[in-house]
Amino acid sequence: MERLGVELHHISKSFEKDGSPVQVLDNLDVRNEAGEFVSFLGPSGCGKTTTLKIIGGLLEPDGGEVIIGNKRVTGPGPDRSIVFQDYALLPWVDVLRNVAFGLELRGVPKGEREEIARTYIQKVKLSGFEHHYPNELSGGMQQRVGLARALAVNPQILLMDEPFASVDEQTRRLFQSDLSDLWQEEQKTVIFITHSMEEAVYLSDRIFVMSARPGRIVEEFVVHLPRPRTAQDIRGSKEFTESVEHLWGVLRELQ
Amino acid sequence: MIGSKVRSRSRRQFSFVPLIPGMIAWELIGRLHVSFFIPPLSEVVLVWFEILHAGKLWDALVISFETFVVGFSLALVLGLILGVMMGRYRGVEHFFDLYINTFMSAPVSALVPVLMVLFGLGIGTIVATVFMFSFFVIVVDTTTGIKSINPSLIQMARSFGGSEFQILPKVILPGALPEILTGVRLGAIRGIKGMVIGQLLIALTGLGERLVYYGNSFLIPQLYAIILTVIVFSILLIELFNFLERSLIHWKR
Ligand SMILES: Nc1ncnc2c1ncn2[C@@H]1O[C@H](COP(=O)(O)OP(=O)(O)OP(=O)(O)O)[C@@H](O)[C@H]1O
Ligand SMILES: [Mg+2]
Repeated sequence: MERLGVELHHISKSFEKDGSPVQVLDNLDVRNEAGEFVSFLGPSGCGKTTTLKIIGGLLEPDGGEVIIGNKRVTGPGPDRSIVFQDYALLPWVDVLRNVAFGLELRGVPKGEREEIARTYIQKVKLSGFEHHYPNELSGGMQQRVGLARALAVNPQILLMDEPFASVDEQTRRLFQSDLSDLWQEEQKTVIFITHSMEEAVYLSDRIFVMSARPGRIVEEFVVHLPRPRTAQDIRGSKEFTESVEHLWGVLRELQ
Repeated sequence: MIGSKVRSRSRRQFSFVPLIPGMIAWELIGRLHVSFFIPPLSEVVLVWFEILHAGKLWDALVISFETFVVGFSLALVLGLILGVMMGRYRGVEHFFDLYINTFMSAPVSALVPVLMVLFGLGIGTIVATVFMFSFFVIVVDTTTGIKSINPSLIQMARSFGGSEFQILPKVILPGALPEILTGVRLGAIRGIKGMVIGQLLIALTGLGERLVYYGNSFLIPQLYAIILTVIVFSILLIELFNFLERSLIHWKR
């Protein structure tokens, strides 16, 4: 599969609030190399989701452009898929159909897409829940459905908006190492949003720390930990804890 | 949330039990000869079979049902189309909003004479009356349903490459279905009112003609038999829509 990088050039974005514009993103310049795992870290409301939706082609920036491969982004495309922060599951269809929904929209025949969906349902540890409806699942389980749906279309670029925020700590760690392995195998380009410094350090090649109002990059941090990182002791290493401490220092300054 | 309250109230299973004391009371009052205008229920039921047998009731029912079905189907199809357009496109909503809201609250019965001028003293006017009674509530509830869909779901579908033609049947319509069905049910109930009022005012066909005829002839049991027929017809229709709601939106509990 061809690997694609993502470049943000001078992205700015405002939203209308009570009749006056509020600047959410100010001149964001970010480059994500093909096959690189990049994380965004920053306080609530600093514009992380907005940035991700601009990359996903769901929102249009007021200024600047997003380049993927050599093409300017003008809308959503089959090269990208999004794990939504609010899960965005269809309440009226079961887990199987939710997971297969991206494939359904892309015209994959029913038998084939359900087979693929079952594989990913297994990967996110929801086997046995294929015919449950979203309102019968916990928040963490719903989040995993959203994750499986994004993975099932097998994109070159994965855009993940706090994908593990609602899952319990054990599952979260399992998923972190699964994602790390998946990335290692397939070398997908990943843009990952999180509030967890440990998670960012564990998964990323590079971490962008954002400030709020207006959102801009205040720090670009390169993680030097060796790969693969699924070995047990990486979280205990000096490098790991120092990286987390450093990020905490940066974030504390922003308060 | 008034809408959901209405829905849950009507979604309970229909039960005849609360009707039994009322029916007994009716029978007793009738037998005590309190008033010439209150015949016992049993007599009304007997008369009902009589006039059904004579063919009068059956003809009236068939013609009423036909006008209702035609008027209501038109209201349903056009109401859904306009409601979807208004829910999806701001411009369309701005244009029609005032008209729809005016007709929603206007006393539509007052328009029947105008409809008579337009459609003549026949079936056409009654179909138009049914339409006018049921159309607007279908439009309003469809619009509301479409606008209440979580925008995140539409973004999600777009992010996976969904086109407007895919998003409409796969996301927008199912998401709006609870409100749409409420509108359709209310539209049907109003449509029955429209049917009876139209036929009463024209008094040439259907159950309305029977009502006027029996009323003027002081055939009181027959009059009640027709009224009961209309009520039973409405109850059956409402139950049909409740059944539809229960089976189509099982996911919303
Ligand atoms: N559609 C919108 N209309 C108006 N304002 C918006 C809209 N979307 C986002 N905003 C505002 O833009 C800012 C950034 O929102 P965004 O969702 O990108 O934050 P975030 O960094 O993802 O926050 P969190 O960590 O809480 O998810 C917020 O102040 C929010 O209120
Ligand atoms: Mg967010």
